[in-house]
Amino acid sequence: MLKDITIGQYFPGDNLIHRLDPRFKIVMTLLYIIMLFMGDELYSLSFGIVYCIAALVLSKIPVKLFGKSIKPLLPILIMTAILDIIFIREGTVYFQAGFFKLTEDGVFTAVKMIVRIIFLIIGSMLLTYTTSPIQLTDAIERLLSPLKRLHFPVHSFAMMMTIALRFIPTLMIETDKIIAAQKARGAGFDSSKLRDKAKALVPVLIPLFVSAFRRAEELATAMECRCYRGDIGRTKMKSMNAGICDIVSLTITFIMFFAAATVAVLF
Amino acid sequence: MSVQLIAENLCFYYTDEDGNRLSGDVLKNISLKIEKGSFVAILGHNGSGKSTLARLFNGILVPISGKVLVNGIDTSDDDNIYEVRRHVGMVFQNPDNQIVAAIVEDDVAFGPENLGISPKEIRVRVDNALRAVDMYDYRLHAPSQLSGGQKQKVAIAGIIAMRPDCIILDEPTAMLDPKGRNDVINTIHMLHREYGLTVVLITHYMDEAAEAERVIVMDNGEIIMDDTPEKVFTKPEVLQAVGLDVPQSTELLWKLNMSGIPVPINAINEEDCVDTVINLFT
Repeated sequence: MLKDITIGQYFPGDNLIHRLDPRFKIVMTLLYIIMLFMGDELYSLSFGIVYCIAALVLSKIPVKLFGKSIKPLLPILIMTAILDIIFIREGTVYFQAGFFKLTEDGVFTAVKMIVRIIFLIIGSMLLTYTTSPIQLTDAIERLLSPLKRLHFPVHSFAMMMTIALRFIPTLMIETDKIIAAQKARGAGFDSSKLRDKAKALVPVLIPLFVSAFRRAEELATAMECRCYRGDIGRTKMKSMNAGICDIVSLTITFIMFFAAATVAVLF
Repeated sequence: MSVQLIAENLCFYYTDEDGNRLSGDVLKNISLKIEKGSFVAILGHNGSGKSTLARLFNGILVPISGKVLVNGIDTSDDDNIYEVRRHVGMVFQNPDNQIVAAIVEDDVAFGPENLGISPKEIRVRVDNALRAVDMYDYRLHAPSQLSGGQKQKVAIAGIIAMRPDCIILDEPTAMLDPKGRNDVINTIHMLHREYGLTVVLITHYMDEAAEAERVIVMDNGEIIMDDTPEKVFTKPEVLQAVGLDVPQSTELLWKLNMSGIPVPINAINEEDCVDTVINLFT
């Protein structure tokens, strides 16, 4: 069950989106997210949508995968929509029953919010699906490198992220195993009461933490054995070189961004 | 043959950060030489000090008294510690806890990256290391998609990409299924044969030790036997006194002897054993 989670997974491939410089990809994703939330009208939102669909087509990642990742977030989406519909009371009234008022603005805002969140998720997934975790953390390390002057431990931060991403599946599988082991000893995970559920977590979390600390210690020793000493004298196998493709893509992103901004201001 | 690893009057016990003693003597006055290009198995049951000895050989631990020399470099000298670790690679029991990166090839690159090698050269080393352990086709996989044996081979590739001349493996097969075990052991033998790597294999599987060139048996922090596998395993009474088994073929011959059939105890693998038994009837 826990293995189904696809967030943060990488699908190797070889096409324009995969080959883009990860630093550029991160900046473009940020611009895209701002683009999505800029302006209030559908005109400005449509720029983000078109941009995202274009990137999606170029990446050749099956749309089905995104559906799978969005599914667990459905309750949040529905909640957001309901809150928008209940609390936005302006605009043409379609239907009224006591306090509840279904208005044009309410429905409109709800739809926009859902579209925005869905595209926000698709956009950020596209980044992690097409960029290997190492590339991603390397890119973050490089983008944040000016902070080194302020003595911010940029390298350690990036290494921590690398290790965290590496151990997500390992710890997931381990959690499954511990749950199975505790069930075999008669622990009940089936009660629907919140209190019982919280209680049942204790015998899962404690062994999980103990094992995680043990893993951390062994990993630290193994890293030392492989001559790790922070970023002192360290090189990278995959160097990042921005090419024409990256610059053109970023330029297109900027053009879209400013077009969306202009539309947002004008309308 | 030149000497790769030297231990001189090595004593060790564990201490806390302030130097207070935490354990009894783990290693008692051990002296040992391991030649370059040799294949040595270290046998011993839990707590015999064999893993501690391994950690002393690449400077993860430093001796309380005595000396460890790697290619003539003293491991207690902090300035040379990375030089020592570059020469002596170490593979541990749990493959999951040695893999740093979420993609196989990125993990293999971790060691060479730490050594500050140029990106082009790292690429070559990573590809060669992955080919050497027959994992090249999996270079873009996530470690979690691999079996235990495959993960252990990735860990080995991560070490050989640093081009060490000695590799120490601390029970590398203890957590693997029989197929993974075979695969890893064959890989280790291949590396020893093809690349002339010095191999120190710490194990408690007798069959793995029987294939080494030299077997060191440890008990309670001391070396009690140090000889060719033929000589070590034909003394089953010594091994059993320290709680170790002998390879099955040796055990068979020994039991034949005990039940009054005089056969020479000279076989440590199945083929020799078959020959010996056949000789009984001819």
